[in-house]
Amino acid sequence: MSHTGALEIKNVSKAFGGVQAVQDMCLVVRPGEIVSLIGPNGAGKTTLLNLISGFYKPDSGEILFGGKRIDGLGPDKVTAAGIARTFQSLRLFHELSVLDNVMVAQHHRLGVGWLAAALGLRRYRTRTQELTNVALDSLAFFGRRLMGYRLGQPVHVLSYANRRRVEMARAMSTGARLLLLDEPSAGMNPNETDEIARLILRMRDEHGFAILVVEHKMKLVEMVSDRVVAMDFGRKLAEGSFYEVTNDPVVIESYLGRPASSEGDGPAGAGQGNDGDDEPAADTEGEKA
Amino acid sequence: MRGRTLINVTVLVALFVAAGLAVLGPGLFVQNFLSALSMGSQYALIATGYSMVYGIVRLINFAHGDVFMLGAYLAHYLILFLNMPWWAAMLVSMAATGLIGAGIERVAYRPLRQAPRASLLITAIAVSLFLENAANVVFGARNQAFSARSGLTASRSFEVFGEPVYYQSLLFVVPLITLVALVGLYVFIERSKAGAAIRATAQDVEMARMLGIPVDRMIALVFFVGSALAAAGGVMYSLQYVQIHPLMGILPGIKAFTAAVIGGIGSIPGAVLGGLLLGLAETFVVAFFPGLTSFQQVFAVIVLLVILLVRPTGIVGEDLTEKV
Amino acid sequence: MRNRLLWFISIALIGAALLYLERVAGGWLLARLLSLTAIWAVAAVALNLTNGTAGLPNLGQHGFMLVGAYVTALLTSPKTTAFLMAPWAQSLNLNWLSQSAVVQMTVAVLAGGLVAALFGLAVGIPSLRLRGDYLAMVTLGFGEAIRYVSATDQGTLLTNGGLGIRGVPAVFGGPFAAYVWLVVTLWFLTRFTQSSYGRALKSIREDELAAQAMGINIAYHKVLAFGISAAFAGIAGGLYASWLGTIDPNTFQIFLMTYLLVAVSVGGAGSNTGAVLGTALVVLVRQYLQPLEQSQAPGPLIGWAALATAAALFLVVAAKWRFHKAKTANRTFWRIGVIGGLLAVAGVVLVSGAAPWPWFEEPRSFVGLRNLLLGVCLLLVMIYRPLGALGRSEFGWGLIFDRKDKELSDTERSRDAWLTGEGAAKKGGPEDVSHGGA
Repeated sequence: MSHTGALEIKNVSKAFGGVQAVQDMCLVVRPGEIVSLIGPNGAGKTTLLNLISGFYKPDSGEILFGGKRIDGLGPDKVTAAGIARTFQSLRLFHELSVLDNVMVAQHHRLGVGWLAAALGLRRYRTRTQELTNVALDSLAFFGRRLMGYRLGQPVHVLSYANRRRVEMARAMSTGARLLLLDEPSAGMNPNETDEIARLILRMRDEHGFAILVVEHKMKLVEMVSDRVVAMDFGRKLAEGSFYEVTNDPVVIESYLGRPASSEGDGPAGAGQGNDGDDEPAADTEGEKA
Repeated sequence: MRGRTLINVTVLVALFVAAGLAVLGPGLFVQNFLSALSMGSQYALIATGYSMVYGIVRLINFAHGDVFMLGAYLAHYLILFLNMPWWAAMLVSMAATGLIGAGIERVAYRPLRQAPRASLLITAIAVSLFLENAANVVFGARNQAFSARSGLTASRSFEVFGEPVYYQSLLFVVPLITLVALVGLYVFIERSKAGAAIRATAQDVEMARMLGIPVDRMIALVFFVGSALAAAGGVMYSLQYVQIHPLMGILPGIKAFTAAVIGGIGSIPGAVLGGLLLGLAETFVVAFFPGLTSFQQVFAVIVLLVILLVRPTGIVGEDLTEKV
Repeated sequence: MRNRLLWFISIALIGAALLYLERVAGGWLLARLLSLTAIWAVAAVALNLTNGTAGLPNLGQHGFMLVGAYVTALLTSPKTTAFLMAPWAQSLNLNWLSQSAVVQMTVAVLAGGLVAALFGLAVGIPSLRLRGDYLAMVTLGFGEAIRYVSATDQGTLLTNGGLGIRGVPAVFGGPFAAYVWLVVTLWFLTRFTQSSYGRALKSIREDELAAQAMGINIAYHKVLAFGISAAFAGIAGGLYASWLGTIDPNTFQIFLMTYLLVAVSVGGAGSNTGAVLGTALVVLVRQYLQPLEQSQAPGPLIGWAALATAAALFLVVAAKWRFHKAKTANRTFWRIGVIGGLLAVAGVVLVSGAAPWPWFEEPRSFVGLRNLLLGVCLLLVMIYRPLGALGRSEFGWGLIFDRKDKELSDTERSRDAWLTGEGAAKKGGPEDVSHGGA
């Protein structure tokens, strides 16, 4: 039985030096699904994202997308295959404008050679127009805050939240079918987090993306997930609906240790608004983290 | 793992010696070996300077080859005007060049500590340009003959297995001086308080600063020592090749950089090893294949390219990859 | 549309002026300087592609120029003095193609560019695994190595070694011809840089890993950058051969590379306009400061230099004082003041000839002073304005003719605030505490 267009991670392991970062991990994300990946810091979530997106090669196991193996391909080929990602610490092209940042994501789909591009042949101009429209659509997804005069501004003048949005618009424009979002709401206050959650749902509903989200904020996880996967020490601890996973004693123990407490961060603390698990945010420029 | 490497190395050395004796005969082999040792020592001295500076500020000091040139010129004028014996001139020149090196760091590199790497690179090139042309202006752009008069360059010979070996005493003196200098360096780096401070700064600048280590002064000290060693190399190079001119440091600079890379940039023992290996390779490639003589000068560049492609961390060096 | 028209008119006007200059006064110093500027500018603008746009430190541009120059020379020179050259090399020419000197030269220059491009690809491939400083060293090594190789016994068979190749036709040595090539180069490279490929290169410069994550094939683009840059450097080399008439390996010493580097770095890293202006600066300094290098007594020279430096320092202090808020002199001001004062005194003493030591009076040569000044200039630029005079901006007609839109209007600012929630109506502000963040 093949899952067409699905991401399949089969028994993937990766070690660095003596540390087993990911161990025998199995995961499936089907088209149109939103799956959240949770776990304490150091659980191996970002490593897993790096494995999927091609920055690392698994020591063993396979990663398939749409039935084709993508493990061991470089990041650029993985993107061409249809998987795009955002980064935990933003990695925008600082001196390029908002529009340019998003247009870069489309370059691999240009289909026109460098000579034709430099000479400005018609097929280049037509294609560029098409791709620019796609870029504008992606940016318009976030309302008018990235449009208009903002398009030409270099991204380093943008506020932190806007930069996060640009990074998501960028990932959305690559022509991908699966998005890997690495802590998309890091450094955001509760209102912004809510907005991100709604945006993620819209991404799936309006554009049909499948999405794998790594997150610490349980409220967001609860809002968006079709399924939740919990990790620790590189292994999968539990998988299921939000309530199943967050009430699983093994998962709770991975966050809090024994005995399970009803206060503070982590799954049992959901709904009490404590965001202590956030990584220190990049410059927040006047916005409260 | 270590044992295996040792066996491999011994086998290689044995093969090399055997081939040398067979192709060249004992006389030529020893002669070339001495020459290679001397050359390699000079490279080792300059390469050590590169590695030390890289270790502490992660900068490849493009101007290092020109510091080598300055050392030679300073000694030249000391001998010329003050009639010093060459070894005294060398010592004074080492100190003076060391000060100049530290001065360069203070003026040109320190303001750019926080700057992107590209700017630092171009700054180093600017310093190199400045030094070369300052030498042009102050010393004159023409070739001069190094003014040292020593008995060291007289041609002598001894016999090995019935074959004559022609040498200059210089060929023994150079490795000897290098050895002394490097031993001194080792003692300084490993056993002294300042050396420990330098090692700490090389590992983690912020932490060192927080522990109260005067980081700026340590960096200046490293530049001082590295430049002094380069000056020593310059003096010995001039004793051997006699002709000095303001651009004499460019090619030795590239070669010494190659040596540092071979050994693993940032590692002092690596630099020494790399220098010796490069000296050996340069000499013996031409000895084995006389048709390639005119390529001897660019040999180092080819080696550099190969090393950077095949094993950029060098024999002993650090990890250069970037974390995602 | 207006912009296009303006460009067309201005390019045509300059072209006409230069054509006139070439026809009327081809040997004039001015004509020679203008064409040299244009020729070096081709290489500088090409250098911008790798160093500025792609962020790949390329220090071997002089090597690519050498390749292009020699290919061009081999194809167009009658090689009457090519005693060391192999016979098959001596007999190379383009007479079979056309009898027109211009056509031959054009083909030769383009051929030079093509061969240089191949070398560029060759150098580009190892560049993939090398980080900044190492790449710089390797390209520098290439530049020096190719020069040495062309002088080796084997190389001399092709290049005539130290004797050089003479008699390269001066077809493209004039200002108009060189200008045409520069315009073509600028046109092509500007379009390339503004295209999606240029953007891809910039993204590689900004963050290579992120660029990969966006689907960009790093290897392809880096090698492409090297190839194109080397191609134009080769063309510049061919033009240079035409300008000089005679080339030998020493024509392409490392100083040529430093001139290009100064031009690009001082003019603006990543700005083509800056590269051209920077080249002009270098050519001017090299030409008009030449008298400085003549044999003269060092005393007055040093004296004037001291006075000039003192004047510059006082200017800087005055400017800072004017804009300094505190209006109290701090230690830096005092230090600069003291140094400036000492320099001024020393300068006066030396210029008036009052210094007692004879060394100040004996004439001596000052060869290398121009390059020294260029080095100092580069150093100062790197310390105080690392991106160069123009930074990354280019000249555009909009700078002169469009309204200055840099400040956001009040309407825009308030609209911005409402949209992003900044300012008074801020969401996620103090009011939200009452929600308890639930």
